[in-house]
Amino acid sequence: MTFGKIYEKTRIWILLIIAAILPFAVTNNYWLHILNIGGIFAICTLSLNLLTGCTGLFSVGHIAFYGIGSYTAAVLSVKCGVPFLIAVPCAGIMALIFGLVLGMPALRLKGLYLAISTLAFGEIAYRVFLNWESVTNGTRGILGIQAPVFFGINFRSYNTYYYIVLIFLVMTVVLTRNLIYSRTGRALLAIRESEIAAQALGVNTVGYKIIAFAASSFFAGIAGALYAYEVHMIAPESFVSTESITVLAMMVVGGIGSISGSIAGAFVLTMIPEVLRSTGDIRLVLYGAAIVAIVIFAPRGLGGALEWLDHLLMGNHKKKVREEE
Amino acid sequence: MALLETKKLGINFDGLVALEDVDFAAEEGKITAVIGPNGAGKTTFFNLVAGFYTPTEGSVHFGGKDITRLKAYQRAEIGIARTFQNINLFKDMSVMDNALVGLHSRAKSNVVSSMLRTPAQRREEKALREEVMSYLEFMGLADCAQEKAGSLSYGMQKNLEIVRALALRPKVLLLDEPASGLNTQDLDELSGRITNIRDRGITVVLIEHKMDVVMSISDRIAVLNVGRKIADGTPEEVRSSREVIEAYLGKEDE
Repeated sequence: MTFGKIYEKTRIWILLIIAAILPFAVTNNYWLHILNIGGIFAICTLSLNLLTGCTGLFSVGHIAFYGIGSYTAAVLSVKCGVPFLIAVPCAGIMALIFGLVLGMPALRLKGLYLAISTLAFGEIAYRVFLNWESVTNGTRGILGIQAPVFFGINFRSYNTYYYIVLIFLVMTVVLTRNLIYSRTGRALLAIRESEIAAQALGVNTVGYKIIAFAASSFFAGIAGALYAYEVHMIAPESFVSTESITVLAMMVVGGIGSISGSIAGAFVLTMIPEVLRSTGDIRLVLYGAAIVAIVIFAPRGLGGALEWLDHLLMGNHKKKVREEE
Repeated sequence: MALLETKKLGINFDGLVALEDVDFAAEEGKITAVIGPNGAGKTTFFNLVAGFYTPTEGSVHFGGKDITRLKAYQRAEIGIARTFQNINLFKDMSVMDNALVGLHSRAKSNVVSSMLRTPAQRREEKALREEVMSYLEFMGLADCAQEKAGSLSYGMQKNLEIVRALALRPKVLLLDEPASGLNTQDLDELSGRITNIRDRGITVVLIEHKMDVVMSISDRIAVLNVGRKIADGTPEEVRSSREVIEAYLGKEDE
């Protein structure tokens, strides 16, 4: 067996093992927290990728679904005492319902018009979080979201909660990957590529756009719920429109339509501002410059770069290059 | 028996009449060509039959049923497949995936079974891939199944359009200028394949400008000119029709 063959067979397990032992290597709580946030944003970016990357429906209000999931989980947990394993799926379903509410009227719109309506939806959601005091506590936010407890283990510390985020991230990757490589996924891609041709081949394009909205908002809601349990207190400031842009940037930097890219984009863009923290005020300029640099030097995103490396390690790099020409 | 029929079919765009009063019938198991000079309304006619435009007058019938109100995807589901004049492939998807979309309406797996990759979903997926390969082989595309559709040569892209439509297992196949841009050798191959498709029992309706192709393979021909049907009949009848000659060459005494 050649190195390439061995690599091809074991790469996924090696990656999982590295992910599993990471908390033992990173003992600094601050960095563990950043890792968890990166993982949560990876789920959110994967969900956006399903809608925008695969189906071609532009959303610049995606953080609204994340926020709806977050608030649903927080309210259920703090005010109703609902356990983690029930609150998280409920958060996903609540976000899914709002995804349908937004999706149905928005389907008549295309391109920029759709983008603007999602932006407006994001803004409305933020205002609701801010002003619906009886449920969301307004600017004070919801405090005291208790960490989940399984088998007598409290997952409050960052290095234990890390595994919960990891499990959800792996599940999201598996589910979205299966979806993309299926009849449904092909229909979504077909809509992105040519709506007319998709219709001519019997794809109910309206129906599948609704499915894309539903699936995408569901996973965003799950990510939001995980965020609530990570930070234990949520406030409307976490769900402002610029956060939607951040998620969009994560997807673009990662490579539109790429699963590995969405994950890489989310982690890299979560970490860059933290790495740059020592540079002071110039931090955000450098952050922007880093995004521009990635987009220029990796036109297919980080995902494209990872794919290239992947093929290199598998030993059929030449073949890949030829195909691209 | 006519499988596909239009009755007094017409459409106008903001008052501009594009097609008017077209009675058309495609007999089951035959190749019917629709010809006419540029701007005669042939592609408009296809768009009406396939459900991309809603007619402003008249109706479309399929297998004896009025389908005028059905949407494009529903017409595909009941067995009307089409190709596009200006190649309309899913360019960033593989050849295989393009063809698999054609099988969409005959497959059953849904969002949930796809995400979970249930045994039934996997079985179906395997069967779909096998079926698609047979169409790819028929149109000479089996070797590039994994390549991106956009990277294929022009002629191969045209063939992939047909593969995708065949994957629907249609009753009627609407081909919009399949021969345009092909070289002589490809043309012969194409003619052979179209008659082969007919011999499999698929009714073919063909828009084409290349008269040698039209005359050699068509069972019936309908002629459109400036939005109206001016003649129909066998190739011999159409060839000798004075109106048709005038439409193409102009009137003698003008």
